[in-house]
Amino acid sequence: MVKYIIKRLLQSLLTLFIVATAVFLLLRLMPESGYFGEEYDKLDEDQREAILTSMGLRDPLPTQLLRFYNDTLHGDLGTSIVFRPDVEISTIVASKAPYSIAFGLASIVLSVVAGIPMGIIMARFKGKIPDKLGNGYVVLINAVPAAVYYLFLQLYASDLFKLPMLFDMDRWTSWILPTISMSLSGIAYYAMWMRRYMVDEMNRDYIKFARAKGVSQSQLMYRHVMRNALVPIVQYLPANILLTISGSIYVESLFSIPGMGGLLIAAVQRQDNTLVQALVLIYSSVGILGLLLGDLLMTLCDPRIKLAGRKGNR
Amino acid sequence: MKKLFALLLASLMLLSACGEQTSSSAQGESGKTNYTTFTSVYSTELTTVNYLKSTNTETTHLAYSIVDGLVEFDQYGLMIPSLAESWSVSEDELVYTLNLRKGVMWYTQDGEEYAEVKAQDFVEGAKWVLTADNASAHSSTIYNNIVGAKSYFDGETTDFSTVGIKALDDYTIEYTLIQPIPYFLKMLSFPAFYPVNGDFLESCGSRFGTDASTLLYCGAYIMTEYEPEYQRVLKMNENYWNKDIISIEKITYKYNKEADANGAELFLRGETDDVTLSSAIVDQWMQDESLASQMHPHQYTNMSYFMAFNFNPTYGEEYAPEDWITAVNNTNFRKAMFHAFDQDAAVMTMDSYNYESKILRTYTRRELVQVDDVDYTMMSGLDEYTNGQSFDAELAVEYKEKAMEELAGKVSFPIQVVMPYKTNDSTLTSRVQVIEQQMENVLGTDFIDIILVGSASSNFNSDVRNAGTWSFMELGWGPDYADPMSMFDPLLKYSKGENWGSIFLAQEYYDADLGYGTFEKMALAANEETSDLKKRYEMFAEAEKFLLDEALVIPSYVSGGGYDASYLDPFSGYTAQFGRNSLVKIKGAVVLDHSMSQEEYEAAYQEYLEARSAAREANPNG
Repeated sequence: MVKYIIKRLLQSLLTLFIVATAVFLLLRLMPESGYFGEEYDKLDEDQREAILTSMGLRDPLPTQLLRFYNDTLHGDLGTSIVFRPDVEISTIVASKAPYSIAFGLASIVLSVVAGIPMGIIMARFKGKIPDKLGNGYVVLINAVPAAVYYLFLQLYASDLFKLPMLFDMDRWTSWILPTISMSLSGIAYYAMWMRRYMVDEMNRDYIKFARAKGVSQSQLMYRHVMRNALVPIVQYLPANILLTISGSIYVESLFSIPGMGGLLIAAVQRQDNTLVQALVLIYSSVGILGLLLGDLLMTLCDPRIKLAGRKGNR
Repeated sequence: MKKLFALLLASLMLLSACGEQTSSSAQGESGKTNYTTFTSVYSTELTTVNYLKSTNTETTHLAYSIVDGLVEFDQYGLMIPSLAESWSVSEDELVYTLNLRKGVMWYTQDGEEYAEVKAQDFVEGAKWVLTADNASAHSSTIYNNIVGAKSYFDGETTDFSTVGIKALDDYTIEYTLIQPIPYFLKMLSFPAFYPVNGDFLESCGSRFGTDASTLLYCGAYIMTEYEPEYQRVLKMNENYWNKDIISIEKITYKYNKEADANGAELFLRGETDDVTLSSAIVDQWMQDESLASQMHPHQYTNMSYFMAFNFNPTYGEEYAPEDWITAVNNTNFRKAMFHAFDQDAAVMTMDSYNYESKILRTYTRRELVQVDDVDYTMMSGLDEYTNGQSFDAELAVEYKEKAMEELAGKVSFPIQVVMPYKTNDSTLTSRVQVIEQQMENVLGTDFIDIILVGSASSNFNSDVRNAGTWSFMELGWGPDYADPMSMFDPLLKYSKGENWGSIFLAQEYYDADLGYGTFEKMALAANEETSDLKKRYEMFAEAEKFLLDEALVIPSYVSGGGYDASYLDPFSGYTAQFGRNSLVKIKGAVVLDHSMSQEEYEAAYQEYLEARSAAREANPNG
């Protein structure tokens, strides 16, 4: 296990190095006018040169790249150059990430708490009304663009239940709609996969055998079927939890939540190289760590799974 | 009898008191005890709160609320003293000496007194702006006008005493100019010339202006909260030197990226006091009486749009650039285009209700500058255009026939007219389609073939406009200073002309020795006149009339407009140098008990115009 973890960590570092270098080089291919935004027309050549120099973009490319590696290895993510000039990226992330994580965790909890029982009920009543209703919900959520039901919730649910349309730190009720909005697709996801894995399990021979032995239906469902069905779902839970740091682009934008959602896109649009590099590094690290934790968690849930050892295993 | 007299007197006093209260409230002078609050939503977050660094509209607007400059502009757009109580100008118009108001203090974000605002603070501000490493977008405003500033910016000297900005004592500041600038005092209202406390700057280091706590405040408001992408809160500066003009105690700006879509609903639910209605929702509000009674026109801005001809196209042979160059240098061809362009049809794509007031008949927009209450657009024959209508289909066809005669054998008809546009702008997309159809209908496709070329908005200016891959295109420009010369920047070789269609290359007027043509000669001659403002503006107006007579550009419209639903009195609040046609400050603004209807707005506008005329008469140098 330890050998496996070390191997995975080394692979992760190599992946991060390649991702960071590729992103760094791609950003340097962007046109220079993008660094000036609406001020472009008002600046003369001397000013533009001074600004590009202050951003470090006039140094030779290898110098810039080495500086980037050096700063990163020293844990210095640098300062934003365009998006929020002179503000340290760690400050930007530290002020925004807590909102995204809080809303993300709340929505995961709601998704799991509502989605998994929903999937169990759908599987238990396969082909009957609860299953059809559940499938209807899953199809609806997957077929309708999220922006539509987010707007619908914001406009009508807020009016119906007298909830604020925008997030307000001083009003706990302003958490309700964004959390529900973020959970709707999660609930559908967990319900759909829980149902699917449970139905798969229910068709397995060991279940038929247990049923023939006279094991009760509820014991079958909760002791055997559900436990096995949860394993593949659990694998992605750590990554989902860790990636809450990236926030939800549209929900945060719609409800005015000052989180991380949309930050990467804004940074790319504004050509804030240091911010893009830092965010890509953070998100890649979190994603890689999440997958590793998912694999480890799976071994805990299902002792039959081995991560290292015989050839052909994971 | 005595009782009756006393009763009458008491009634008169009561009436008089009521009258005074209403009047002073409207001017923002009351409310000394009844302050109001105000909430607004916005969709574009500040890039920075460092007022010395950025010229972005949002940062400038914030700067106007939290820091005072040497001069400012009242609600009528007239220049009045601010931190400078008085000033004098040397005879050669090169040295400006300003005397500071005493006892004005800097305050921290927590409202604690920090230090007095002194002349050295203005020197420190300019020094920060001129330090190239700070990458301030304001730097050219100073180094293009102040003696020695460019050398300091370029690093040729590190001695700031060589720069023409000096604190003569704690309360006297002196600026020395490179050449006379008739509007220099007005320039001092820009954040480029704002003060900063040197000790505070040093203590903050590179963190200066990165959040609310790394700024000092000497203006009407203190930013007590600043959470990007959430909200910022301004609270009245309790010790503000001109506190009498403040009637709003607390302003909350709430961020919502979807404010364009959500704003109207937020207003109706009371979550915001102010919203600019998107064009998509204006129709719906107009049809509903209760909603229509809450909306009124939104102000225009200082951006003017025009249809530009490119005299130096760089696109490929497939669009026959040589034919275009020959055609655009033919005056009758340009005049045919000039009179074939229907402004009404083009502008209706943006505002079908109030489009007439949005249309611009001259290159320079209305109310940029005035002398003796006469607007620049009414001087030196420009009034013919201002009061006229350039669209004339019959005249256009007459010019077309002349042009075809003159160009026969030199070009292949139809002339291919490459017209790029940004595809992300839906109103522009429909506008260019209207322009294409409308102009081709008038002039015929045997004469011109307008080719629409959709382009990405990112880097459009550098990759399309500056690169010259167009022949005829809508361009917009907002002047930096309240002066026609600043308005002409995109047209002049010495300024930005090479990236904006190079009209100085128009062959008929081109002077090979100078490298530019008649229009630029006229503009530069006008710019030489610095002492007689009336004469200066008239000379600029003559140049502009030449520009229009020769159809070198086609005026189109001013930006802004549309409709607001807002509790703010739209005629209250101090302004910037462009009066109510640009940034309006929250300082001096008044919150009403309801959102003005269009009828109320019109009545208030007429009152405002009368009051402004009176104010201009009382302050002719403002």
